[in-house]
Amino acid sequence: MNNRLRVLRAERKMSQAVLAELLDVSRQTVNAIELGKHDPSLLLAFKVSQVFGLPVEQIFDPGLHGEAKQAAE
Amino acid sequence: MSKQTQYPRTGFIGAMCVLKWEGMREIDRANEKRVNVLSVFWALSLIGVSAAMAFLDLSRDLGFILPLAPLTLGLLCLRAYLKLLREMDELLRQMQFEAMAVGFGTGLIVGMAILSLPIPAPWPTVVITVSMTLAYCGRIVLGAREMARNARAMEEAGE
Repeated sequence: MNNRLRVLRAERKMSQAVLAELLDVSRQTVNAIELGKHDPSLLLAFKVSQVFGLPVEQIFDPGLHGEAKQAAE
Repeated sequence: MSKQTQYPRTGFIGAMCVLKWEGMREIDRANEKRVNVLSVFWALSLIGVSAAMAFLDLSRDLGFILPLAPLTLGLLCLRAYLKLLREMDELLRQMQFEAMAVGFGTGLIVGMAILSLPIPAPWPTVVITVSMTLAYCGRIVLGAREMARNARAMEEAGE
């Protein structure tokens, strides 16, 4: 799953450690999400959305294409 | 030198350092410590009770009551492990579940292989337990190495 976590964090000049603290996860979890190595749980995705004040779909892109995307919309 | 680079990030030691110091929160460390302490007590009680049953001339009642000690400690250990899993950082939890799947899968495969041998295998329980433990630990180490790789990529990117 693609995400804009790194960009949003850089815009706010926030370190991974600070974001991890706000989300109550380890720094390595934030790192793995940014690198696309780990998909966050629904709860964590909502926490990220709260921290950045943006809807979840503006931060995470599940990469749905074609019929799946139309069905989701 | 920043706090993150005060320990190695390559090799087995480096992977374990990243896992313990960057991949775990305080609550994970506390929960893991509880599981480790209870596991040691469980193992010691198991050895102690087995030795007592083998070498001491115990009464029949005591022979039934004594094995309850490791059973109780084992159940406490299991409860502590469930608490650890529930409260664990989600990346670590994923690693734990994968390691458990690999461990139990290996146990099943090795167990079936032992059963299908034409001759009775020596110490089948030990062989199965050791293979399960090695597979479980191996998967954890691979997960930690992945963490260390990610940490290096992060440092190279200037984080």
